[in-house]
Amino acid sequence: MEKKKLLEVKDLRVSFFTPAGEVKAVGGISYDLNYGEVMGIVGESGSGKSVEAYSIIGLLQSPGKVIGGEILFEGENILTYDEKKMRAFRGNSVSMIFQNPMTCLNPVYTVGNQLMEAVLCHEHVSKEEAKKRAMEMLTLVGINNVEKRMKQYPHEFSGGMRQRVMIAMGMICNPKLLIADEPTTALDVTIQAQILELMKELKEKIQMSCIFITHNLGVVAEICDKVSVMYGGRIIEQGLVDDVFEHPAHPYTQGLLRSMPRVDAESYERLIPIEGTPVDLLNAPQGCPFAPRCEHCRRICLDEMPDYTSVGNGHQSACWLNALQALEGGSEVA
Amino acid sequence: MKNEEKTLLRIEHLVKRFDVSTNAFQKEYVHAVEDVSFEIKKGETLGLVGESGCGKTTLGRTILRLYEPTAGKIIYDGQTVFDKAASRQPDMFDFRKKMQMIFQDPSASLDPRMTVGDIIAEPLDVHGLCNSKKERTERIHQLIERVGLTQEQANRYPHEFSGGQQQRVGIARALAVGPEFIVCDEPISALDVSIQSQIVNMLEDMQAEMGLTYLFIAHDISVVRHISNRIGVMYLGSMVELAESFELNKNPIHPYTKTLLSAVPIPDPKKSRQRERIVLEGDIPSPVNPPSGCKFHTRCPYKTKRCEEETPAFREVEPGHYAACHLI
Repeated sequence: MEKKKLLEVKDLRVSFFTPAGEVKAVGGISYDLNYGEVMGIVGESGSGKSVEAYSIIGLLQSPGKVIGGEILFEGENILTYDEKKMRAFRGNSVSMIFQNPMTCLNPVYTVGNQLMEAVLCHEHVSKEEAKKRAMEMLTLVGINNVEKRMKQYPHEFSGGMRQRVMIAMGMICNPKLLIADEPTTALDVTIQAQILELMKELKEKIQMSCIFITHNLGVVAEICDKVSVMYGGRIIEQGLVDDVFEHPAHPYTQGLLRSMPRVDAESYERLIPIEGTPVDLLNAPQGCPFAPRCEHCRRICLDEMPDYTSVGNGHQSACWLNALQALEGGSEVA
Repeated sequence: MKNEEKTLLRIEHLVKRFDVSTNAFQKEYVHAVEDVSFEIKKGETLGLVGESGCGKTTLGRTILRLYEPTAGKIIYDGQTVFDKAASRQPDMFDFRKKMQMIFQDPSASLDPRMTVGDIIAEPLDVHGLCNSKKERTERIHQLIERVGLTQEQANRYPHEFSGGQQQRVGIARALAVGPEFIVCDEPISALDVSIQSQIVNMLEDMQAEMGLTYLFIAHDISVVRHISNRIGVMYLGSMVELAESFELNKNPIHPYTKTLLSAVPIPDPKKSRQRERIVLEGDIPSPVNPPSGCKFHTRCPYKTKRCEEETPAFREVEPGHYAACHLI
């Protein structure tokens, strides 16, 4: 079955021009996302995962600037859009859910009002129609007593409920792509489980594409079809979730999976940490960003950034180690 | 082995309430910690897990009397730290040399206007543990190297360090007075994933080296289970289950513990698809007006009439495995 591409990012580069110098937050990443697919982007703070998402939706703020590459959404490069076109694009075609629902909802408007605003902004519908849509959405995300809830203010909602409102707001105009930036990070585990179940359910009901940004590998394993692992502004490994988790090819991914204590571990095992500290993008190394912390680091790693090596079905890794293995082993599959 | 069996800290029926009354005639309290009792043996790590607002941090702070307990008893190494029944409470100054704390947010717990060296030496100065300037400098260097930083970094300020390094400074400060018991309050939850394991390993090494006893507080049950010998699960101010960490994982008794364990995402797509998950309805009730009877009954999938009316006792179900639930 041929899947159709919704989003294609080609060699995207984003830099922040700060007084201290140029910070290459995103240093040339490429990926594509098909219709109905959920892709996870994992990485530590400062790996560029949020910046990358902000540039798709055109919310990148000064001093950040896209300095190269293309973002093709249904074949059209959205980086060429002007502000007016971008406004129509945002919300209608792409929308976003943010990490902290309290800071994203306006405290002086009722929840119903804010939900309706999104519809009224983008579509020519009557107020009654917008209200009906808002109530349908709230029911869909599992909020009871909708009539009453519509008239309440954000502070009357709990954290989990607010995040549900955010999800409803993100989906109210039926966008083709939903970007969720750490939507469960601020929540407790039991509430996180509720939200994840909700998102899985919605994924089944409405075939919407989604980019799920998180630092939690467990969340990715649970909800995503594909995953991209970012480090130092680059995607260092990408592939289907099953492949990446079962046969991680890049030393960073391997290290991350090894360093996490697991709730399903059978016995005590000492953790194997990744030594060193995350890369400082202001003085980013010339070669592979992970090289200074990598146990397999060779001279070439410090000098040159490796290209992607295919290590399986659509599973790519940017590491000299994989490139060498591919050269030596011929058709060796990791 | 006999030494390990010795009880270092015992708390009995500890209660902490915060007065949040806005009306002089109608007293209102946040019931942060309600009737919690447990023991910590010398050299062991007791983990405390629970969601935000369950009182785990308050419990940790109350044990060190950073919050004055409302009722109950705290006994450290045979000496009374707090006893509601006594007319006068003991002075904490000497206890502070034995009991220390590592805080959650490393950047907020370090004074931005002091050098890292001075921050680490402050407890030494307060307790007068160094006789000369030379000794003080030596001690700083020793401590800073113990936590994996370099001597030169002692003259820098906290903002020049990354989050992981700041947490190392916080740990060095806690170690300065040579404590026996450390309350680790979410020491790694503010750190990046790849840094967390470095800190966890360091805490384990220090424990083995210096025979430290930890009370390890965190919301992430996988980390707590990794580092702790025993785990206490808290819900809305009460302890609902306490057991050996692997026993708790294999054989959770309380419905809340079961939910908590099943809610943690596993970084393994195949396993997480097969897994049966218990998803709780609703949110944690307000600790100002906690539910009657078993506090968990508003969200419990197995609740009965009795749960609404009667508070379950915290009792030993199997040797060393305690739980508070009517259904067992």
